[in-house]
Amino acid sequence: MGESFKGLSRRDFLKVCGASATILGLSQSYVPQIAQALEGAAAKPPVLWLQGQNCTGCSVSALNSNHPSIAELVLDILSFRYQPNIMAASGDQAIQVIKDTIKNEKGKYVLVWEGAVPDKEDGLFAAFGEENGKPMTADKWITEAADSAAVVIATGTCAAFGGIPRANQAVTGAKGLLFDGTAKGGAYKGTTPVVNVPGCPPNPDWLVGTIVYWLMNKKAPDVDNYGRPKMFYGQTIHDNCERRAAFEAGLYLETWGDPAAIAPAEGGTATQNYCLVKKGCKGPITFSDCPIRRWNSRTSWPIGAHGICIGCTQPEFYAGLAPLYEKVPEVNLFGIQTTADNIAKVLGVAVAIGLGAHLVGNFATGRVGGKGGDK
Amino acid sequence: MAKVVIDPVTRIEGHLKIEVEVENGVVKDAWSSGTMYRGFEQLIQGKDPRDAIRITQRVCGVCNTIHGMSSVFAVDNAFGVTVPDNGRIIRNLIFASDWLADHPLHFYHLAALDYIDIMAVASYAGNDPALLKVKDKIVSLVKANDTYPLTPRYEPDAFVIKDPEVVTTAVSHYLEALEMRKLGHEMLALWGGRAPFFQNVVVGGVGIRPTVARIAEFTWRFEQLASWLENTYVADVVALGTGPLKPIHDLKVGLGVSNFLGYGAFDEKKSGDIKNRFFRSGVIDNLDLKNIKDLDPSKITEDVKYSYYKSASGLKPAVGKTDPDPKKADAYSFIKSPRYDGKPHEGGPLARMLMQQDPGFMELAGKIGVWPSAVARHAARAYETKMLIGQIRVWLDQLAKNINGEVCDDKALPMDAREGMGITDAPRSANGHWVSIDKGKVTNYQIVNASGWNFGPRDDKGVRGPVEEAIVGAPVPDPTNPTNVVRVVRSFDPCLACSVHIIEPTTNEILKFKVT
Ligand code: SF4
Ligand code: SF4
Repeated sequence: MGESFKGLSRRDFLKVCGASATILGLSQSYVPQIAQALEGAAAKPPVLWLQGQNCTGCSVSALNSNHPSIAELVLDILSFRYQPNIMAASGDQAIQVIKDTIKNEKGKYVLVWEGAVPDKEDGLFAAFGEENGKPMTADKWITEAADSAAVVIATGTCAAFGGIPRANQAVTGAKGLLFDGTAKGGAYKGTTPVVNVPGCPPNPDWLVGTIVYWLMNKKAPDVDNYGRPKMFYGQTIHDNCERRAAFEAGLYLETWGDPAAIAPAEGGTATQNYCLVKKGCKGPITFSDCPIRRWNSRTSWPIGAHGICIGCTQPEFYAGLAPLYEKVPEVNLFGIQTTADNIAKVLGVAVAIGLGAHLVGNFATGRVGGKGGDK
Repeated sequence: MAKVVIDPVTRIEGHLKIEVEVENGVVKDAWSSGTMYRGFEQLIQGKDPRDAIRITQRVCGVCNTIHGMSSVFAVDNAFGVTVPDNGRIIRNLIFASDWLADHPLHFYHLAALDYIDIMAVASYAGNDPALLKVKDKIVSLVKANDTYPLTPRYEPDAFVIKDPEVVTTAVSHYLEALEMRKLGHEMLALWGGRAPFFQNVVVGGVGIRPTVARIAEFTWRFEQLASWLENTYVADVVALGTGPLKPIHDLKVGLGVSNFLGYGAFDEKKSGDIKNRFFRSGVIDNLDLKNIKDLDPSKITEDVKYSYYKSASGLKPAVGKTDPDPKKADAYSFIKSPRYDGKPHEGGPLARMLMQQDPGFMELAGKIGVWPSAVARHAARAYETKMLIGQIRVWLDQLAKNINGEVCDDKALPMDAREGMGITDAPRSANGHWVSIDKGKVTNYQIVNASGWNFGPRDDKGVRGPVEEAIVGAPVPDPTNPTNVVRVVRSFDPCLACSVHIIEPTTNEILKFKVT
């Protein structure tokens, strides 16, 4: 192994590898393997990060990456050819970089795609760059950029499933890359593998971890039915929620900020923090490791800060999960005095069959709010 | 005459296109166009109004708290709640944390590359270990023949700072800022659950209660960030603004419309009360700083003659309509043209500081020169960061003294017909949401976006929007390097994806930029 990796000191380089192992949940004994994978490449792997109907929240979340930090990612590990929020170039200069990368790095670059892709009105609802005086639409870019990529990472629920823009699909035609909500059949029709890293926005670890996994193994991680890496989206929020005991005990918060439903350590007088299911918590039907990984250098997470889970990693988000502040229909509480057995039975069914199929069935019969992506 | 089109303008949030006409090296005319539409106002129709507080935050992931705050103020207003003091203060802390993360992000990561020649780092000859590390990094990128994403870029123009010591320091602060801004988001997450997009601010207040431990956890991060902001960020902006960047200011690059407007920000008494805010609300016309008028929200309207909407023009937001038609003739933007009293107004830090007239800011403005410009906007942004830091300490104190106070006036969803308005200043401008509800559902929702005030297209009378106006007069000696145009555009801190195109009208050919 060389003395330095692409300008990094050996020590700094191993630190980056150690951080990458942590994010993947690997023991530090994997560090040499990661180092080998990164050093094996002749040059830093090129990345194109393109945006359709997005809000840039996914990009801003990625800036919060710690292990490795965003500076290490951008300057040391990857070659960010195009990332509209940080790159120096503008205009045709910037567009030329995309075109050059597509042409010169065919089959070698990672395409990170943020935002939904709309197809109504010739795709005019999302465009960047021009060709012969005509706007280049997201619709055109996705085919061009994805076909020549080694792998596509659909970052965020917009890119994975259509997300919030899909709630206005009737007008703009917004879809995810491979999915249109829970259904297969998105805006990208090509054959390059697509890994979904949903979340609105995704935790930076989910995105960076997926990229590092791909760099190490040159293949996509094991994914679920919705293309999400199981290492991050393998369990429901409810499975690991710190309020699960309250849920089982039938202790539910009814009024926001009520001290009688909040633990003493959190400024209340109750024995524990009560479960938020009656306030609409979507934790029972949402797959991600938020309760364990938490957010923003592990300072907190939505339920930890006394807010509900809104189900933002799910293909149904947003329209299929509305109204957010009403109890999810899948969870039957049998009144306040419930028993753990009853709850386990109800949830057991839902969780065991993987909820995806379950919800689809419910959309068909109109049971989940009766409006899966109607608007 | 040369027509210049830059598409996309990067280092901003969103999709926007700006065209300029250049004559004798000076911009004669400009057009600003938003090139992306999702339809939040449409998709929230028929939904539970409480959802808007979560969903409309995703209008913009950069100014991520602003839409959430505007939305909760609007829905609070419609529900008729009285937010308890602690709920109001915790909201202020969440909101302010985002400002402290956002302002340095804007200066270092979005704007700074327009003002420095980053390759000058290679000539750094000093022996500061931290700066040498920066030099090694950049030199190694050059050696590896891979300097993305720092290049390609516009050829450094006459105003660009080339002094290796200054540039290397700036780049090292750029890297520091990447770490420091995370503290702002951690502070936000401590009270709000996560960033971007806080999750526990609800109608009536917040779900979280203050504790001594949480205040301590917050303060520990806040004081680190505060001292870095004051000693590095504010110091850099002041030093650069009064020094190497003053010539750009002296040329009045980015003057603008000279009308300013602010909704005020950070409630000090009743939640949502625009008369009692830490940053005051108000209106300035024709740069008349002696005559700051009270804001009257009923004077806000939106024109759409040049916007891709077939709905009626000139409507007040409370009864506004959003019906897109991306192929409408003569239209060139998905942004509407907000007007106050029929005139364009600039919103943002400069508007706020001109209304606030804090002695410290007026002194700084005196040193730089008291007129609006791209540089003045950066100075105002830095100065208000300092003011906000001082006030956060006051709020923390108030919270600690009333630690058992209530946090939320939790009211059930009303079933009758109601309306609500929620307006607040945002880091980059003034932002407002208007909601109508009936039978527990949203019947109308209108957003007058912060960047709409600045980046809107011409109004029905053909009067240019603030950014269009600010670009006019900018020196562009070389149409292939329209650096001053992007400097002005970025000084407004756009939260729209922005594209500026450069066309040579004689040949109708789009000039291709050389990749440097
Ligand atoms: S997934 Fe969420 S955070 Fe990401 S672009 Fe879409 S709306 Fe923004
Ligand atoms: S319903 Fe929500 S708050 Fe309650 S235990 Fe499940 S995930 Fe946690």
